[in-house]
Amino acid sequence: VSAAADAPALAGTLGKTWGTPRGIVGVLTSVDHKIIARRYVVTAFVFFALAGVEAAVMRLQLSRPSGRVVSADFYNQLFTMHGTTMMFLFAVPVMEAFGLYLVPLMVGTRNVSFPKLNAMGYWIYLFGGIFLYVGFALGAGADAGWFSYVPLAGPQYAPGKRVDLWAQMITFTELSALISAVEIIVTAFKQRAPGMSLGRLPLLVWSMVVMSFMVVFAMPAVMVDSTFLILDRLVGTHFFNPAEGGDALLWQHLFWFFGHPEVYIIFVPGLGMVSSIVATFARRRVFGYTALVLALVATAFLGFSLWVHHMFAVGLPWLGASFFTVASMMIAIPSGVQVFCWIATLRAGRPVPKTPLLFVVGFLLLFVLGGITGVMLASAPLDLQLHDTFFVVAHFHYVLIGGALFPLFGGIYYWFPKATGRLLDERLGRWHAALFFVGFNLTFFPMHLLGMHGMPRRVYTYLPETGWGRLNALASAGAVLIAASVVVFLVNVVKSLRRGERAGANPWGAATLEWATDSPPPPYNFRDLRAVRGADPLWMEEEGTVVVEGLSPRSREVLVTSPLDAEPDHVTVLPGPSPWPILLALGTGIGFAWSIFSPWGIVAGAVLAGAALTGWYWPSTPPKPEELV
Amino acid sequence: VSAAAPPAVVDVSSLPRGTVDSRELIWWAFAGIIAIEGTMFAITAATYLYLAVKSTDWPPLGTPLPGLLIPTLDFAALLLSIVPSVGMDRAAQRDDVKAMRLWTAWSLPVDALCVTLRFLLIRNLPFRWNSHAYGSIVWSIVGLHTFHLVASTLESILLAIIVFRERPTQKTRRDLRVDGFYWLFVTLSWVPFYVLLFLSPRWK
Repeated sequence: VSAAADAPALAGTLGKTWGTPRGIVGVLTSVDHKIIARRYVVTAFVFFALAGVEAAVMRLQLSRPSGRVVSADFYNQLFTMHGTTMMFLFAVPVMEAFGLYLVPLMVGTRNVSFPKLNAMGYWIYLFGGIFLYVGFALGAGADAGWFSYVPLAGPQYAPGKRVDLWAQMITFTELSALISAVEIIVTAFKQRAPGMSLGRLPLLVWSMVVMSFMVVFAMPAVMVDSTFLILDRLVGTHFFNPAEGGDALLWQHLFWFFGHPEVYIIFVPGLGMVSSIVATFARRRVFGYTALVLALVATAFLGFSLWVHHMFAVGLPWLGASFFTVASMMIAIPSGVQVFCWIATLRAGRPVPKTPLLFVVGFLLLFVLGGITGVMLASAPLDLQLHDTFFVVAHFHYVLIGGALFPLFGGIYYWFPKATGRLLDERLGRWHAALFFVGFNLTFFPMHLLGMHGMPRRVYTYLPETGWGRLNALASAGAVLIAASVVVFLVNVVKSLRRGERAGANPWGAATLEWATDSPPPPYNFRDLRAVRGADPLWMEEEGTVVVEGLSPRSREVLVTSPLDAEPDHVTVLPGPSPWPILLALGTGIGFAWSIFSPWGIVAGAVLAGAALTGWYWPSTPPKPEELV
Repeated sequence: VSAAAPPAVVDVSSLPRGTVDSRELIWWAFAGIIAIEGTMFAITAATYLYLAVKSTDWPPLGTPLPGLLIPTLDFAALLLSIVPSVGMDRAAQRDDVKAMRLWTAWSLPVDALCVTLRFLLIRNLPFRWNSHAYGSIVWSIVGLHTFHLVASTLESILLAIIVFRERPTQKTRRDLRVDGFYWLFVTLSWVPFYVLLFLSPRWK
């Protein structure tokens, strides 16, 4: 049967096979990667807003000397919740969500490799986040900083349940990050369109793969660490207790072995977004594809060898400090390679200054600035001067907001039409970019100076005699602009969802496969699955397209290809909607939460999770072969 | 599709529907889980070594060493359990129902022996998790690994029920491959821990 002859019928059948049930059943059982990724993005932005409000209150408090907006205790909770939320509940999940949405589309398949697991990852993330914020609302907000150093976070100095909630939430939500990482890796290696060898993998997919490998090797460290912490707090182990042979620095080593890669986990996907946007808007293939891939991989490897630069102030042997100084400075090499490749692409192309590209330009400027202060801080003697001052706050906001949030906003303007079918408004987009850029610099640039003037981080107030008032007022004024820019963005989203210009399949004339299907994509992603002949399939269409035929539209069949060359290997059937993911997440969540209060929680969690797992794995009757024809 | 020529076609209708071996997606999921948990194990081992290096006395003075007999028997039982596990996997690959059931029947008592010896090992540890940091890390490593051992044994029991209930389907045979792979990880990962926890304190 020719595919073209009965195309609408084929689309109808595929729609029935891959669709999500309507109503509450669909909400609770959906396994569509696009629906789940969308939930991740929306939830992450809710947390972003909460953390933003926390930041705003802190800026209000610090806007003048001897501020009295909040108490010292509440201020401690504010900066802890702000950091924890931004790192664990916003940045990592939102980046992974982009991967979960885009990777299957970009490699030309119909869903991620483990759809039920993917759904469970979302529920775990949601429950973990709610758990932390319920604690905060009840006055048990974590207050020992986002890295919860012992002994401050230990049983002696942090009695009560605050740090327990924090530690359990970390262990729990990192599960979700790990699940997403495995999804992205396997989807990218096993479900690519025929012909999409690794050398033709879109750079965004490369960045997601590199990020996912970093998640796999970094997150276990913090899970082990937060578990040690809660064991010290709840059952009297002595991991961090020097009096009984423990070691307080053990916490820092394990935390930063995760914590430094964490920073790269957050901005590596941003680099992939930049590469996508630069290529599309420069109207040419990105310059230095291989160099860009190798730079991403090098960043990942180096990222695991420099965690100790967070610990220069603890008293290290000089040889050790020098090693970590050199390793930290080396990061500038792959970063520099990438920046030059993007500049070369823009220089050699015909750049179209749409909003996504504006955010990329902002990214280039800010990321380079953040990188420069990074090289400064990598030097142990200078770090000793600046450690724990606002200089560090300025540095990492330049890296994280400049390096990750600017590309993310660019990415949202770029892929919003794909996900919703409508373009965001350009005029509001320009306002958003401009306000955000100016507001950001106004907020964070003065912090470099404040740090050099000696203002420490995490003080809830300061005296007028310090002379820090004016720069702080400036920073707080900048925060107002940032808030205004986010409001402009939200207005843009709401307005465009209802009345935005229709996007069509490929509004930007981009080259990668996600633009080869409708916007928004149907539940089955592509009616005609593609095979590809090069790295820019949609820019090569005059050479003729290649489609994949022979998958049944009546079951959730996907093509599995070989990991390196993407040669067709076999066909497998992915699972459909299921109630087990949310039940398993609930069971595990109950176990985690309850175990803070009683060891019976572990038993309850094990029984509930075991029951849900059994239901999950119990073999269902497979459809008879004749139903699949 | 804007191509002038009609699209060329890659026809996949003759490809196998599902496999029972390591090309299957679920095998890759377990490779991911093993990478994650292997990292976790490595980090606990690194913690043990870090605490050992930082201490003047390791184990702390006056702390009796854990006995050698039961841990060694436990270690041997774990290694032995690899045999039926590999047997199950090979039988599943050949689609030999009789052999699958035979090896499954063999694996259950061996797995039970492993779990029993492991609980004896825990009972005989001559210190508690809250005695000192040494106790904390030894109990954590043993506890973490025992959790994997028990979970993996429960999975084997579940699979055994399925293998005996019906003729193993392609999915069940694939699950046997994955289960065998994971069992190999659980057993072999104990090798460094056995050396670290029970042999290394005796090298003095």
